[in-house]
Amino acid sequence: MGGKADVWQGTLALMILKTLETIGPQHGYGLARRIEQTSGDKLALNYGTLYPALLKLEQEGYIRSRWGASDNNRKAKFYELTKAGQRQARKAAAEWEQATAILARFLVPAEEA
Amino acid sequence: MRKLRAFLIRAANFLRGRGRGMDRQFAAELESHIELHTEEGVRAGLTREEARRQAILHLGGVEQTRQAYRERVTIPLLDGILKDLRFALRQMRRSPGFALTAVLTLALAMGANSAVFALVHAILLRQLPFNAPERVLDVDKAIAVGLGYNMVGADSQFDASFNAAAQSLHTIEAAAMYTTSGVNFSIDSSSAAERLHAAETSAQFLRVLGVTPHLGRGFLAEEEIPGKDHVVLISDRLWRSRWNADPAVIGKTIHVNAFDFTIIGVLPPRMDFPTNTDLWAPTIFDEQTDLREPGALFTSVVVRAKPNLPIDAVRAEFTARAASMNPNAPKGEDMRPVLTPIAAQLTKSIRASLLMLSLAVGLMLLVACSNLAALALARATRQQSEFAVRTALGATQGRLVRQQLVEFLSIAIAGGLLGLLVTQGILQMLYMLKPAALADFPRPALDPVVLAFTVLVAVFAGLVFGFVPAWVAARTQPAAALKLGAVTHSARGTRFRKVLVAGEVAVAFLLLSAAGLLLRTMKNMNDVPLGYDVKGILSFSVSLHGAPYFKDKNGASTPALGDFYTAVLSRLSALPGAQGTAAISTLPLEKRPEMLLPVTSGVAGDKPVAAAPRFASSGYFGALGTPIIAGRDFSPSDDRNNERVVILSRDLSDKLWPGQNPIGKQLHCLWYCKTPPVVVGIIPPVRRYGPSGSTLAEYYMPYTQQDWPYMTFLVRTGSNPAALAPAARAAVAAIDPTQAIYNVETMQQLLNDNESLVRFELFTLSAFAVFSVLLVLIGLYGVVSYSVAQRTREIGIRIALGSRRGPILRSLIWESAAIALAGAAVGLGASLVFLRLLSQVLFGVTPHDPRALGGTMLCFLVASIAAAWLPARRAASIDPMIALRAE
Repeated sequence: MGGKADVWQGTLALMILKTLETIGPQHGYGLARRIEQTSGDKLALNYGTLYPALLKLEQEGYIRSRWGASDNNRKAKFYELTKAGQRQARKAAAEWEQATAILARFLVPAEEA
Repeated sequence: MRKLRAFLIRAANFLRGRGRGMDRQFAAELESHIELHTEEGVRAGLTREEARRQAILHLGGVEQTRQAYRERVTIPLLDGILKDLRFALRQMRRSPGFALTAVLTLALAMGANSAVFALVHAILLRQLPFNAPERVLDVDKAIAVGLGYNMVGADSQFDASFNAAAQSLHTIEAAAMYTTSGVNFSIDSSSAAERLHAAETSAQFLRVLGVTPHLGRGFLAEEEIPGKDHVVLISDRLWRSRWNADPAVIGKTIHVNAFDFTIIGVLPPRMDFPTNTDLWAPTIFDEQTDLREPGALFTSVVVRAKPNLPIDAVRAEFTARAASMNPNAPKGEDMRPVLTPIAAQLTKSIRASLLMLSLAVGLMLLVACSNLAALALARATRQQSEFAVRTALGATQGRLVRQQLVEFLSIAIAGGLLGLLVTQGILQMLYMLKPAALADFPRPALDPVVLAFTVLVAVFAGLVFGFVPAWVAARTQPAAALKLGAVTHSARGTRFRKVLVAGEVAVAFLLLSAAGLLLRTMKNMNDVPLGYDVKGILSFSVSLHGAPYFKDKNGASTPALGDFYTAVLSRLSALPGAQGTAAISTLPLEKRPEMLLPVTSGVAGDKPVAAAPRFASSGYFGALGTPIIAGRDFSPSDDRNNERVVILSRDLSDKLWPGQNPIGKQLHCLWYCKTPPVVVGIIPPVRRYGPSGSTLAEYYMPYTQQDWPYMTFLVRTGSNPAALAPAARAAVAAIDPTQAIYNVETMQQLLNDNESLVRFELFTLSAFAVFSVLLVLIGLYGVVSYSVAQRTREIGIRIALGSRRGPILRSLIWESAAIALAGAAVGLGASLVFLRLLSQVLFGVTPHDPRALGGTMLCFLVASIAAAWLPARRAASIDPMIALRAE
């Protein structure tokens, strides 16, 4: 994998939500690039896996989509957070922070020993 | 919640078939994605082709992405099943014979099942419209615990002992007594009366049942006291038909048997207890209202158990009370009260029949399913190479099994839905015959419960007979199946089919022998000499009420009664086509309650004999076709001015004066014969309750010597007796238009009603049996045909080598007969065990009747030979050249 990490199950949704929260409405390609960049190019993301995840979030009512024009005037489908999506982004981020904090306590002493 | 929302959207997408539209949209989105990515690549200096290639590579493949997306749009499992369903339909179109056979067979079998279930649901599973109906108990022999009331000879003083006994029993909340009778009902005294069913009850009746009037009020406790009891509750049906559901009906006065009653309430629509009752009056303790006819001496008792008490606790208290109240009673069963939940009591007459029918129809479905399983197995064996190819191409076993099950389930459900038409047809046909056995029960309907039952049975049937081919599909080893060639012969499959068909024979044997026993019962019943001839007789009844017909309390005669009957008879005999007319207080086969009274020979020390009194016109025996075997008939001159006369049935005279000539002797009885009448004639025993009932000791007196308030008239004619009904009504109306005429029936109809339960069972069981035998024939035919098809080559060789055709024919027929004999042997064993269920309705034949069982055995032997004949003939006439070239 050339030092690149696979996307963990379930974290992709959170990445999408947080990214949309930061940069606002974005199309699928833009989102994929942005996620890759944010990870410091450390994630091996098949761009295609983004779309079922987007559809799932849309079915769950966290995001909505509409067709619009991209920066260079191409037709593209834009995704944006709904109210529920904003709440979910905050909630999931908090849960994730808590989980990693707990896990970190296990990992830190091990490194010291 | 969010997950559910997503699921619902996906399900909706699936149902609305939006998969394809979403697919197109997504294709556009993907295209735009790739375009954006490509442009960026081009900007970075790549060629357009290379940039596009990179974009698609980075995406992870266009088709893969679309597939992943698609699976998220709808629900893939449902999509798969839909595909299987389409495949199943294609499969059916390819071999319509198999699908058609299966659907039709199942439609008939499941239609019959749903019909029987509809009956069971409407009758046995009916929720009575009572509050906590499981606590309402019928009490037989309630007199043993003091819950009785002696109507005969009771003085007009109200007898409070019933309520005292009820209160002293601690396991019950309340007790009530009731009796039913036909009454003449009219809104005012000048209009024509209508004949209705009334219930006379005690005041606690509604409380025991847990029923509240939906208009007005129920009985007050003191309204059962004679003098305060002229209040009445009416049925919802009567309220709607006679008063147009007018709420102002409360407080109105109606006439019941010419007495005034005030309406105090209307009972809810579903309240139908006692069955067909329209009027309820708290007059059970009243000797003056005369709602019940003389002779109706029997009352029923119902009690309501206290809540949270097992029925056995109530039984225990009643048994203990009975023992303490009758310490000297013989240890027999006679004085022990019997408590039965009211629902079971109401369905007592039909329960065993319906359970037996459920069993029979379930067995029939089993036959149908195993027949289809045998067919399906044959087909699956043929399809084995197809399964093998598909397995080799990567289909999983689960996929093959699922597809088979979907195919068979869809066949079964199609069969079930078509079967609902069959159900409707069966029920309509059944009720077209107006079976008296079902008359007291609600008519079944195809409601959602029956529908749900049908679907459930269909799924069950589909799984049962789809299991076999699914199993074959799952076990297919592609390598072996492909190696063996297009047709594989599975010895184990063939044996399995034979076992299935033999099982069918066993079940069909059980059904057919049951039908045979019922047929013999029917024949035996028709052979019984009734003592009268029902052909060509119309009968109807009249009960006289109102001023001129009132009974004189001082015992003086009421000539208006006899005059009325004589006038009706003279009008009837003037009708064109009337060959004989007569009147009798209780006609054989009539459903009036019977009264048995003690009579003696008058010799001191002789034991009294219980006998039924009858009041008849002269010419009654001639009109009914009953011979007078000694002495004479009544004559018109047998009136009050002449000597009192009586005619006895031979049972009675043999008991009173055994070995002597009874003519000229005097009969002594307590009621209705203060002056002992002289025996003038003897008649042979008459079967009062029809062929399967016993005979009854009877004594007949002329109505011209003893007043009687009701009469059943009969007219004999050479043509259709039912056509005389309007003329009979007119004859009564011409004499007194206010009197009701009721029970207008031909005697043939009365006889049919009497045999209704046997007819009902015979009709249904024979239909099931015939259908099962038909299925067995098809099954045997299938087995032999299949075996011929498999052995074509072998038979060809044998014939080519000089074998004669006879042994081949015989061996194939033996194959079929062996299956039938094995199955019939099992069926015979089952018959010996299960046919005892029928003994309640059998008449003149035991459940182990060798003729019925032997006949059934013979029938199956012949059937097995017949089924094998065609394919065996085909096999025996095989041209060896063609047979050998075929492969």
